[in-house]
Amino acid sequence: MSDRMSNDEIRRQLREAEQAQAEALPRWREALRRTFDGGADAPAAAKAELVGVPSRRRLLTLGGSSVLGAAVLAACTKTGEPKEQLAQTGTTPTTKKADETAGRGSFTDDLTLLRSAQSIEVLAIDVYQKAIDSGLLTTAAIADAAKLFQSQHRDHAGLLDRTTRDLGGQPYTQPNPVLADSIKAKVDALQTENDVVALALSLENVASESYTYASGWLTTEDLRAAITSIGAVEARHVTVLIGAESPGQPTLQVPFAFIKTADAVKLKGDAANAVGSGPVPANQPATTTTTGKTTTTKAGGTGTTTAGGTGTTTASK
Amino acid sequence: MDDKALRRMASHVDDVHREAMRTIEDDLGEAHFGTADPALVASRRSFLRRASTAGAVIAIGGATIPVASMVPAAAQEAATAPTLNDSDTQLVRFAQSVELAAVAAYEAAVGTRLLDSAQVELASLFGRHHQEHADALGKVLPTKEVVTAPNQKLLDAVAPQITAAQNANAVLQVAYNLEAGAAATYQFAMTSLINQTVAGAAGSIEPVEAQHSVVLGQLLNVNQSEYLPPFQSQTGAFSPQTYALPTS
Repeated sequence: MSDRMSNDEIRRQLREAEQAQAEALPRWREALRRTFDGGADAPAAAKAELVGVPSRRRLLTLGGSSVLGAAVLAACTKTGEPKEQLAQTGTTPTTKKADETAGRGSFTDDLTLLRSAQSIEVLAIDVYQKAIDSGLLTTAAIADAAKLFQSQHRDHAGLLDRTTRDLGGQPYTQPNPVLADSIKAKVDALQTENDVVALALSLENVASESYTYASGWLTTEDLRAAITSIGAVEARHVTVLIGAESPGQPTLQVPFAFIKTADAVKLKGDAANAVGSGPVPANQPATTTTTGKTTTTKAGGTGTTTAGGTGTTTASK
Repeated sequence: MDDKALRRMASHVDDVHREAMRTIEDDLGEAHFGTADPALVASRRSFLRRASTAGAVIAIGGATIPVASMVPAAAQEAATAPTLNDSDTQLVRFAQSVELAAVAAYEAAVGTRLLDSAQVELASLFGRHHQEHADALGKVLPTKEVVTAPNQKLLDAVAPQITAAQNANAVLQVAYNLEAGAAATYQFAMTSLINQTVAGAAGSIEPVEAQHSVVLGQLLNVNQSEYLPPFQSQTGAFSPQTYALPTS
């Protein structure tokens, strides 16, 4: 310890720091509330900086991590357009505005999302295999769940593989390299059943969020239906695993009213970039939207991905 | 003062700081979405703490934005409310009416007094989730299209089952069927929704209905294959024709 400072002085300063922290936090919370309240005049940039959100464009490209703050910040910011003050804290813009996001995504994005999803499924299959082989799963119900989930991830990978092929793309059959790297240390350090459950939970959570993210980006109804037919199952896995972690506490098993996308694999993020779209066919399907139904048409006929039920894809021939 | 004591104190200060930072995210979420419900917040915080304690959150790309983790997708989508065609509008209205019916069903379930305190807490939580879904769906609709009443035909089908229930399991079975039907309904909707923003919102709600059904299925000891299917099916979806809304 420093020769220039007594132990008493260090202790006093630490206590002061703790006290200052305790006193400052409520004020900071209040300041945040005021700043983000619908009536506040703080500019968007200030709000963004306050919560560490750099800029809208950068938000969309930050790794595979989330990006959701931008839309919310936009909602909390005066733009000169009339806004509707809701009963709750915060402001949302008028609902009559034109759809700014209509038509987002592209055929190449579709391929990237499908391949990224398959790369997550393959990683999950591998991780569950390691868990099963580890001998750490000593609770029968958890061991059974691991085997069931692995088989379902295999089903999911199969549907994604077929769907990608139907679009003329090349399936991605390897584990996502970025995600695999990010969990390698945890996989290598697995020592208990709880470790396995925690790792599986985090992986299923990323999967679930990634499908929810994709459901708002894929360009056809059929693709979106296929992806959500999988995403809802990943969310079911999450709930089972939370139950395994916290038995007898069912209210903890559904932690959010909405599936977030904070930890999703996103377009332009590292995990998706590592996978990419693969070779894009020169003869891309032309998307035609009719009333309530989108059909992808390519040379040789039409392709319709059937979601739910059997989880099969009807390929055009 | 020895090094150990100093380290312990410094560690404590650090823990306090980290814990406070974590709940700041929650506070921000509450500030944005008004979800100050204690049970909801407790559930979310518990999830975040557990994930953090286990070191379970996978950091992708090394960049994380704390506040983002508290933002429901549907609510953020509402920030850029879309213009919907008639087909999407009717589907969203239908979904909203189903959500409100679920809210009413859970209220009725609690009102039976057949549920124990833990079951009441669960039913109340799920009911609040459905209310949040209804609110989020309402935000993507033009004001004149917002549905404010539960789907009466669905309620007419469900309410007698709740009233006739003789025990807690019978009540929870009705809730389980409702949740399974709701998840299937969103899956059905996903095959038709054209607007991507709305599809994304539905895509953030459908899995939660599915999660509700898992919890209830486990409590009821339903066959696992029922609540853990390989793919989310449309089977059992509430049909907009069968449970048609009154024409406005």
